[in-house]
Amino acid sequence: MDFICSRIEFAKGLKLAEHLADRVSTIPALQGILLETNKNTVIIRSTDLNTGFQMTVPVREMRREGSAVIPVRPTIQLVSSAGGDTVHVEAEDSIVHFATHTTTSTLKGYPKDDFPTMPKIKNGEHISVPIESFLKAAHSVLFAAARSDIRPEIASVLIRGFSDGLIKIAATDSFRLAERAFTNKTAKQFSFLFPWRRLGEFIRILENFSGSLDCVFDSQQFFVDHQNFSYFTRLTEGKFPDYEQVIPRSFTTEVTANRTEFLEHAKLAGIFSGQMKEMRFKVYPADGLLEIRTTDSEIGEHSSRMKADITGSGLEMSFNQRYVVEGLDPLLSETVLLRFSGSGRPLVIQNPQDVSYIYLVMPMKSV
Amino acid sequence: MTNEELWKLTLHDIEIELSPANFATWFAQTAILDQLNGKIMVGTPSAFVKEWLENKYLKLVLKHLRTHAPEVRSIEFSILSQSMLPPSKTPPPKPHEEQMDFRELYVDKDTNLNPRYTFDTFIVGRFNEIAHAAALAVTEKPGLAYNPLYIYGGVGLGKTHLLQSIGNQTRALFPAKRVYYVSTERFANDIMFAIRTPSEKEAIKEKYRSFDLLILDDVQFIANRTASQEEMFHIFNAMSEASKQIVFSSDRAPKSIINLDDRLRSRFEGGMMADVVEPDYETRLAILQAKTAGKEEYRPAADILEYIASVIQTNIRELEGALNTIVANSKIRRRPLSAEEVKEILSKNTKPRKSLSAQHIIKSVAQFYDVPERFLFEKTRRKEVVRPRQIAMYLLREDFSGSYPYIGQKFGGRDHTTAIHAYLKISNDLKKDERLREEMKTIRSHLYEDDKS
Repeated sequence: MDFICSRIEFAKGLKLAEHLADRVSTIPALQGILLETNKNTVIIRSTDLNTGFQMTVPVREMRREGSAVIPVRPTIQLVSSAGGDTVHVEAEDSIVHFATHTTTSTLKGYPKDDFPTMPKIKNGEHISVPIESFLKAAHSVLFAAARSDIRPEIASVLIRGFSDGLIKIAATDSFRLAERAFTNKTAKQFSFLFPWRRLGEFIRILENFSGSLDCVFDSQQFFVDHQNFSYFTRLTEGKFPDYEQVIPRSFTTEVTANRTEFLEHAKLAGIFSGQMKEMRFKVYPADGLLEIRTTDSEIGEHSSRMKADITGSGLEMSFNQRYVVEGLDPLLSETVLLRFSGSGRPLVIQNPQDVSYIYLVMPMKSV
Repeated sequence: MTNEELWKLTLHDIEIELSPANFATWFAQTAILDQLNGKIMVGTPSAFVKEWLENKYLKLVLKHLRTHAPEVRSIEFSILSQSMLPPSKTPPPKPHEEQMDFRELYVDKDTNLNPRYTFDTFIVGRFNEIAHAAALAVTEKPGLAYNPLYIYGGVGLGKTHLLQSIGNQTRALFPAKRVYYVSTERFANDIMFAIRTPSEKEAIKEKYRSFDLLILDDVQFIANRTASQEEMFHIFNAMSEASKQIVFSSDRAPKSIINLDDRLRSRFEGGMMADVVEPDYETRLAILQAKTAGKEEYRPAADILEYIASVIQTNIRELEGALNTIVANSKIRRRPLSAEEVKEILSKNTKPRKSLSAQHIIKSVAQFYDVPERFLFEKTRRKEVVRPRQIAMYLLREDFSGSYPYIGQKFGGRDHTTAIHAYLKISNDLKKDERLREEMKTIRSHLYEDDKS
């Protein structure tokens, strides 16, 4: 193998592939990244046998076709730090030479024979989704997924398509729940569970690309094809809980406030929320006032008040401060609508003008 | 030779030909799933492994399979379902225990059961031991032991916990059995829907008949729903003919459900009926101790738990509510609460008693012990008078909140220390003496019942 390509492009591919290489594999080659020429491109691939990623980097000058498996760390450090516009890669058996206009290095690679191919999904469902919409939705809910594998179905993000083109992405850790919807051009009914850790990696990859994704999936696996890369992962099997039943339909108190102001108050309250993260809301409808209180026995006490439009009855309830702040972030709107539905019932956080995002958080028990 | 033995032998041979790393990477978590007419299905843990085995090791695997099973002609690889792979167990990062969760999300979609309710967390006492034993018997021999099992008793006494435990335990013991838990209200709605929608009728009836264990909670709600009762009767008949287990719960015995079809009533009564009554003092204390076990930091002192157990007598839900309130209060104040504080908090949170007059209390006690009222005021120390007098003093203090001097005064100008002594004596005896507790309960029920009229 012998080719010259853009150093920046090459480094980007290596960095994205790095996250998926299997650092603990018993087969050394799987700890590395595969380079393989294909016409006027070079393919960079990595896998941990559950998930796989490959990116295509255009080659400026192809001298000899071939392939090699290279060690991750030193190659990335080398290619990112060495200056210059291009990099010249030449491999003979498992020895790989890298050259830039001022550097030459020789790295020990792995026997390339041991590198898996990207699996294909036969008879899967096909959909096409714009990266931008998918990213926004995935970002809006990922943080709410359960972090424990004890219940794999909620340590996953539910992605559902409806016959009218709507796609809903939802996640819950059973203490709070986030859902974002968007309309897609291809309308299809489907449903699958994306493991949350995998989705985090996938988001990191997607952030580097634009355009649209061609997805193929069945009940066990998911494959994405994009003009610059492809991605494969195992999905979670199981049933996501029927979460729509927990969304309250009627409310006792509704508070409309400036989102940025409310977020600042909530963040400030976090200084005093202590280990329990308890943040207490008091709503005074007659005065149009929302009060936030936190107490930390070691640090001290804090309270803040802000003007708000309030309908319904006054109330006093406690919530986890971090849960509230996290749910406010994806809202991006000027105002926020806080909808309470009584003690022991979830608080619904929404944009009053846009129903595409909904966030629910359960209260904390209190006196 | 079983599939498992065949695969073990084959793997043993393959292992010799491959490097340990290769063998471990590509053959770990593989298994023969099935074989049919010379075709062997091999399950693999992932798509990457599947493709690798197909492309690289097909011939090798086939060769070794054939030395042990010459009839094998081909191999098909597939991806194992996750339920067959060893689960990875990372304990959940638990948010603070005060954080509430969406209970509905724990419900299993197929069985409608909440897996959190198990026999392990069910506290057995004299008040529920029969119901508990019957429930266990049902899980061991579903459909055969007691069919139907009918459990009844007041609210907040753990009926739902028991019912759900039956379901969860049956699932654990007999994974193949189809278990379904449903509230009677939803069940009746289903039936109504079936009656109104002829196209769905058979499907819905078939759905219920197909369960091996059907658990119906709060069956008293079937009263007045004549059409549902008719269908319900037929479903139960079909199920019991097929030896399928049915478990009911209700807040009252079948004979006390009015507007219930006689045929259904006799069905309910036809198996085993077990009631759950209010827990006694020891059990209430045991429940409080179980609930606070392992939470040493805010665990109320023993005498506080005893106090809660003696005050909250109605049901377990209220008992837990009272405990939570005490724990939460002590967390806020960052110190254990004194007995006085606990008393004050509980008096605010428990239902206010009907207002009583001192006269009324004394009269009721005298009536109960069948002593003339005036004897209580006289300076006699006869045993049959002393006891009722002390009980009357205790009640004046506890339920009437009379001051000790007032109480002393009331009983023929006695000293306040006599009143204190009587109060402490009875408080202590109440903890030890089951009969006294029963008597106190009866006196109180008379007191408050009379007051209603």
